[in-house]
Amino acid sequence: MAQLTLFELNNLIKSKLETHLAPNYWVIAEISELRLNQKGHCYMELVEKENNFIQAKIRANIWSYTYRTLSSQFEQATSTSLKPGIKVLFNLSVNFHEVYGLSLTVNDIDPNYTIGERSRLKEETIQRLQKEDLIDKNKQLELPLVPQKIAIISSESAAGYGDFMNQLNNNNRFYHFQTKLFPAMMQGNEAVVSIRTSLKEIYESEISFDAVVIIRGGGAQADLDCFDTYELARAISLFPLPVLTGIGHERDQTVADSVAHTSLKTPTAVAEFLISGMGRFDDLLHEYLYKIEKVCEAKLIIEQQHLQYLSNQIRQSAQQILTTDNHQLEQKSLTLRYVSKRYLERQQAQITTLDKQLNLIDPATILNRGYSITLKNGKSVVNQQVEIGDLLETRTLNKNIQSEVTAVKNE
Amino acid sequence: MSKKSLTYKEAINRINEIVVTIEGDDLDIDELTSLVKEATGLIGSCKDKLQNAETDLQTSLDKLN
Repeated sequence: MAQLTLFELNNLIKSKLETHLAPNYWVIAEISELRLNQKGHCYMELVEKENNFIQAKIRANIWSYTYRTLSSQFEQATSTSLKPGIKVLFNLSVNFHEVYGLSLTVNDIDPNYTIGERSRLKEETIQRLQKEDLIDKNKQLELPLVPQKIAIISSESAAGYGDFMNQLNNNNRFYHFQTKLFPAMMQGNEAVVSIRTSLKEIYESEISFDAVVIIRGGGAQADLDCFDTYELARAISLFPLPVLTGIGHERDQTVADSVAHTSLKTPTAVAEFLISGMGRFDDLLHEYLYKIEKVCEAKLIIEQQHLQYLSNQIRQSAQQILTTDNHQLEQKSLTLRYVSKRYLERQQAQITTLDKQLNLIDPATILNRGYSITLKNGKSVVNQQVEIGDLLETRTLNKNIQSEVTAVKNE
Repeated sequence: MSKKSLTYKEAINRINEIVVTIEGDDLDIDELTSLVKEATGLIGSCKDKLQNAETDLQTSLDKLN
């Protein structure tokens, strides 16, 4: 029985493999472990799973020079780094080393597979969310007319957070927003848990926020896989406040975007959205103010016209009354003048008549006609006792005669 | 104007109601005056709130810190 040394055996295996295998193969595998050593070589464990059950497993490596090129190409194409948990299409060579055994060396990677794989996964996630009625859940929440109290989930150091705050606080209409940052990891493996923790804090906060804003980013293409996960999407969808996203990416919408109440491209756009919402409300206020002014103006004009009309009426009526009164007054004054004139005339006539009558009975008139008056003690004798011896005075027109009574005869 | 703070939505609804009323009905000048006073008061307080930093949130935040 022929005997081989171990080295001979390993050599045999090596030469059999070399003759029977092609120089390289395109192989789909999931990275289950990945580490870089100090020299920059990348050591991986590749697996194939069926329902979480490992069906195949092998070591693979990417030499540092190749790794530098491939990893940056991969990141650029897929916006994600080579890391455990993703499926990759590798171009591999099978190596067997007498001491180190079997291993695979990566020559090339086709990122298109991972892109396709990821969009398939994303599609599956979206379908699942749809089936569970979670896509529109957050969209059905009513965004307050003026979302002014904003809870922000971001990383304090993120450029996007700075942009957002800057845009919000320096709006040219001087609107005031109240914001509170709930810091979270915005990329990488811990992001999902970290963002969900922040959502929980917001939910439990005693401040009643109007909306939640999830913003990150800008800058280099980064790992956005966390925003495509079912867990984060579900948390956003079921959150009781409207969630606005500004994840700041250039590729298609993430799943988080599609379940958000409103998704915008960048943090700045989210700020603009909030400011313009406030602007619309402000404009509405002005519109109402304008309408009120117009109504008041019209009403005032009508009232003024009415007052003018009334004051004209009053003036006219007063004028009329004055004219009438004046007329009557004139009439009366005429009457008065006439009546008084007549009265005076009548008085005059009476006086004349009396004067004449007086004239007739005036003793001088009688004396003039040749009669005389006889007086006793200065008074007419007609109503006196006359006795013999009385001295009488007889007046004529031109004489005054003294006599003594010698006889009295009554007739 | 009522002292309790209305939400923006309540305020704008009331303002709208007043504008519809004063545009539609033939109000006498006293009614008009009091409605206009109410509406402009609401508009003023809304505008104030849009731009004013002194709000309940600030108070709550201060309490937390």
